[in-house]
Amino acid sequence: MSSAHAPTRTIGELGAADFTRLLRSDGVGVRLGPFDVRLKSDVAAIDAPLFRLYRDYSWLEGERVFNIHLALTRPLSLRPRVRLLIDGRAPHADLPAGQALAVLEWGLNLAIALRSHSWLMLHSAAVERGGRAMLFPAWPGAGKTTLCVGLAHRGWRLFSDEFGLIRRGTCEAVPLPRPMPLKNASIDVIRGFAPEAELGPTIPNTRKGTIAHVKPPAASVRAAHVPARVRWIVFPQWLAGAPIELTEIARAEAFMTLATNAFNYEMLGEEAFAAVGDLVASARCFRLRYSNLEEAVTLLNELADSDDARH
Amino acid sequence: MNTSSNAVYQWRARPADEVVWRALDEDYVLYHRPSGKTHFLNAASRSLLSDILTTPQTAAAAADALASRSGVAADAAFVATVTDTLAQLDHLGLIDRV
Repeated sequence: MSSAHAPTRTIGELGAADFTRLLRSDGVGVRLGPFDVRLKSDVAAIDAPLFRLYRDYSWLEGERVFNIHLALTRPLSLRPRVRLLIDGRAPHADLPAGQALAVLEWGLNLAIALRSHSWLMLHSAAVERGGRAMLFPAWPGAGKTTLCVGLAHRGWRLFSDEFGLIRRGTCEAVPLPRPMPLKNASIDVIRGFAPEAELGPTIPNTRKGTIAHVKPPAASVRAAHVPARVRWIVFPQWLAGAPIELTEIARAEAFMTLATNAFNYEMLGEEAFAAVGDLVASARCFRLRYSNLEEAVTLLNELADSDDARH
Repeated sequence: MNTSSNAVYQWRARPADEVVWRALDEDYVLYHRPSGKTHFLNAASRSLLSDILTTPQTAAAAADALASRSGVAADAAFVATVTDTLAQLDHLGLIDRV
């Protein structure tokens, strides 16, 4: 977990040239929410996009204990491939070099998913406004990343598009802001919705289709040490052409859906039962069906506004 | 399960310390420690497990007790529903046939 040392410089302040030099040699230490990660890469094609996407993160200078060691290498191969190494081991087969940035981000997801059992780990996007967090637990394809990017560009603080880390016994979500991978049609949706959003390169033909990563807002990265209590749990479902619908649901229904959604519910057992119970007992729980991002963001802002007015 | 043969059996809830309950509005979720499984139960099942089957009961007697608590008639349909519920609770390892 994060050490008590306050990092003093960002990756951007380190500079692109030194960032690349460190990627090639000792590795670059980066603080991602509660994780201290060391990145190494000898894949030149991702140097510049990686620097742009990560320039607001704290640079962890010098020797320290890292939670995750991640490396991308170029194996000998007839076709251009990249090999992901987590703590020196390749967790899967080599993948096309053109997907290197996505491979690195997937690798980070995998490493985090394998070692985040201090928290209840939900497969969920999460954002925060006014000190209260909104979770979007969902499996892939439900539109949680698109919603998350949309809200992060309409006044909400980004916690994560992928991991809802819940500190057990507190109902607090722990931020883990990272580049957000938009897929296929959602790339153009966000280009239209938030022209100011900074996107990385478009990566075609991945196992998830075409991907482009959105740089997390700088303010969210800077505040990544500030947790927030979960106030809303919204189970999203994107459905082409569907009219927008936000329905408050029974807590027991929310409990069972959330328990099914958690990566480590069975591993944590009774502790997870307690944590999910605490969450749904203290939050308002909804199902959201939507097809239009602007409508969904407006409705969720209205929900937060009405709760703000009540408190 | 055969309803008619069930009538001769008695059922008893597993020891209370094997489960953890959480009330959520009108419903309940239960964590079953021996299996590590979580179940979603209604108030009737909660009453059967926590109040009625603390001592061995036949399905008919359990249905009578539940009907009395719920203020409904223990007619044949109600007894059949309770009998089916007992079979499900047995399958989940939450009650024993004694």
